[in-house]
Amino acid sequence: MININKITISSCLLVNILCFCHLVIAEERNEALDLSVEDLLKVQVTSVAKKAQSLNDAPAAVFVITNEDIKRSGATSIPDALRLAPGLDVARIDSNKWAVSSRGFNGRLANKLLVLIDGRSAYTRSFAGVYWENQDVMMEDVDRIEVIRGPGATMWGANAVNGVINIITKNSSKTQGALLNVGGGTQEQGFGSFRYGAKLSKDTTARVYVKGFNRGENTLLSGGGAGDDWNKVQGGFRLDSQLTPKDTLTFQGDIYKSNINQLSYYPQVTSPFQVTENDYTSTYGGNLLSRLQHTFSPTSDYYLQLFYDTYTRNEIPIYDSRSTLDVDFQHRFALLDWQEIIWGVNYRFGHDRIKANNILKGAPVFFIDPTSVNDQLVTAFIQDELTLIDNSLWLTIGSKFEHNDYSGFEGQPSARIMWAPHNQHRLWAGVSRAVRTPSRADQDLKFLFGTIGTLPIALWAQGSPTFKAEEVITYEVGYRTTFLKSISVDVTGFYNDYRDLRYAIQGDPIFDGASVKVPFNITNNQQGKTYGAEIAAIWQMLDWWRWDVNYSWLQTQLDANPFAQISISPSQRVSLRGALSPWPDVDLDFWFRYVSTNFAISELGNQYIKDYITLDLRLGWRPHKDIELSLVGQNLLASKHLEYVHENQTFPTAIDRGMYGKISWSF
Amino acid sequence: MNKSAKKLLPLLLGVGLLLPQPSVTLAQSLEEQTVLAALALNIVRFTTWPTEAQANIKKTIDFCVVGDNVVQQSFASIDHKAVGDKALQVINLSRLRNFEQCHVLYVSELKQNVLLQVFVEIAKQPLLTIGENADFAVQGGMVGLVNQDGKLTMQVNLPVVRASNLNISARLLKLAQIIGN
Repeated sequence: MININKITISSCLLVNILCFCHLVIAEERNEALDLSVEDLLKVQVTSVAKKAQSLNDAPAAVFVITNEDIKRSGATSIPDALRLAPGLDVARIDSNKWAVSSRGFNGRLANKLLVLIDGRSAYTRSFAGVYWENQDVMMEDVDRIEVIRGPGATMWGANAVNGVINIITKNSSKTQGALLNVGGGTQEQGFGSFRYGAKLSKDTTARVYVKGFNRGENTLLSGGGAGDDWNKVQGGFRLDSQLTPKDTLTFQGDIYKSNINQLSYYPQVTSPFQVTENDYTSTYGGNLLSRLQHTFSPTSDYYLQLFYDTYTRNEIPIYDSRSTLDVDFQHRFALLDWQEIIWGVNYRFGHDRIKANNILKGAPVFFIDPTSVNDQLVTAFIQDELTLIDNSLWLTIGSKFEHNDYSGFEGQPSARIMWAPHNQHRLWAGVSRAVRTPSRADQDLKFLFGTIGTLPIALWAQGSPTFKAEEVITYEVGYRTTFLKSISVDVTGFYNDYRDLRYAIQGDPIFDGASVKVPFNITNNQQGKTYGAEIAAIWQMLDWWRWDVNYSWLQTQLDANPFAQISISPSQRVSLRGALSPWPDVDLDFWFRYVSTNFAISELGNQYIKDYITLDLRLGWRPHKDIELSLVGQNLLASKHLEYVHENQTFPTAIDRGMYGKISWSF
Repeated sequence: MNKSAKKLLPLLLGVGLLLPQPSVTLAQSLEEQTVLAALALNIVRFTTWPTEAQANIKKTIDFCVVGDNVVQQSFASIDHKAVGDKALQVINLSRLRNFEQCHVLYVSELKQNVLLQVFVEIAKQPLLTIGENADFAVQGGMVGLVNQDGKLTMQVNLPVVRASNLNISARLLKLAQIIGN
């Protein structure tokens, strides 16, 4: 009896496998082989599920956001475009602030994510994090955004603890001619950009651009205007020259200025113990970057890159100005017949000036000592990619070594293995160590974050020079397949073990005549772990209808401490996008996003943010090949919804529903 | 069943076989990579190698592919296809070296600086180069296959082809856009 059952089961399985094989064979048969050259040149061609990028072959959790993805999402800023990637927690705090992190630990200045724009780091040492409102590019000229989840420290540098975002703009030879974009609507009240690209000589191309926008205010969760409207103007250029057949030079720069409004609250040690005021922030900055690349052979090249970046944020409670000079050298070469080695050195010099500003209606809440420092960072890395079996098994090992003025020497090794049992399937696994090095604020900043009673008891967070780097050991596994050409699936699982996370411990109270001062000293006393999975799938259902689905699952477990001090990112996020082109000149896009509840730490008390589901729609029409009209609706399912609550200073702000129209004209 | 019906049956079946057969028609669109693979196969069929190089072509024409897994998957469909009395053999190149093992080099995507050095390295060798990049033929590749508004066009850099002593049939050249003089 058992035998018969077994046989039945086996035959069923066999039949199924046979059917399955048949499907695969059917898929692989190339219909195009039946056509003549003449017909092949006449046939309409469609792209596969995703034009696979070379990064698809990387043993890491990589997702690429293309120029087309950005356009069709209707996103008008870099952080909003990042919502397209799995594993990233993107939340808009208000009109001019975002919280963006990879694999948890979100916050206004989420500190475990490294962001690079054309090789220039946007991560600031002042507060360890990224001022997203300072970062912008001409979105139409972005070639792609590479999102690498997990430690990228070996190749990319410190603070790439949970991810690297690599924003890459197009070579100027690909942006020739003029492009004018003009638009406006309810939240995106008015925006415009103009780019012009030209050929300067046989081997040199360049472009210049200018853009500006005015973004409207949102609504306080408690009702009423949030006073968070802002505007910005930015301009820049990029020049690419093929100096010799072996040498290329890139030279680029940007300059920007923005005016930011915000409704701020500040705790005070004197009555009324909290003041509220309409603040105005002026930020401006710029950068210059040059990169010389020399190619010896197809398997060997080096580049030397130099950049200077400066920004100034003159915000009511605190003034932060920083200049960075960075020199980077990287060399790639082949060793024997089966190894590729990349090594590099980097030197970075930083100069800052950070000081408390008087607030309008009370006493300063921030104190920093010293107000200006120079800091240096020296790093070196080496990575070896070994081909163990040609076209099927690779091992990548490497380490970064750095010395910084805050935590001294740090080593960040990584080992990854990838196996391709068949060209449709890739399996990889990796283990890495990465660190988040201390910021100026972690060591030198003191700020009042609350008062209790009328005596009062004043709560001060106090940076500590003994604060050292936060550390993670990450284990990852991944699987990528293009099993059927119309479907590609990418699955990643990870386990992160964190040590020495930032935690402020209550010190001894001191009575200073006006208040009982309770210091909370920054230490490395928090341990924890996160684990989760990310799935990204693309399905080209019809020639003119593509689906993009992402699902991210995250669990955060922090060791018990008296006070919760770390925000917990949503445990689930879903992004479901449909891109339809029912006619060649018409695009229709819809984008649903679901985000489960999350928890944010704030001076106003612990904040539990409700889960939400939202929808963006875009309709694009090209009446002429050089003109595109589009209409975009954002956050359509509710008049307003809360995504995140700022740690301090601004009240919970709900993001309003928005609509805008846009005209693009290239000539 | 009567006699006439019996006679009609095979006829009906025959018509039935003729009618609903799913056939490839030009109205239908095809996936780009498979069309590129089919075009590449045809280009090889229309190419003649110089006599001294032909001595090296034993049983197979070695077709090297530089590209990711999706590209490799598509080119698997032309593996072992007949080219004259030889068979095509697809080799996935994971490293940009040992080009001398290839008779054809197909480049799906490479960084600009690297591609230029590949051309330098194989200059004047009887190695047919085919690529997808819009600038491929302009920069020194032999045959560029460029997607223009959803249709593939063929660009041939004739001076480079001639420098390598390869010969591409006039029938194919008629369908291509010629680059160089």
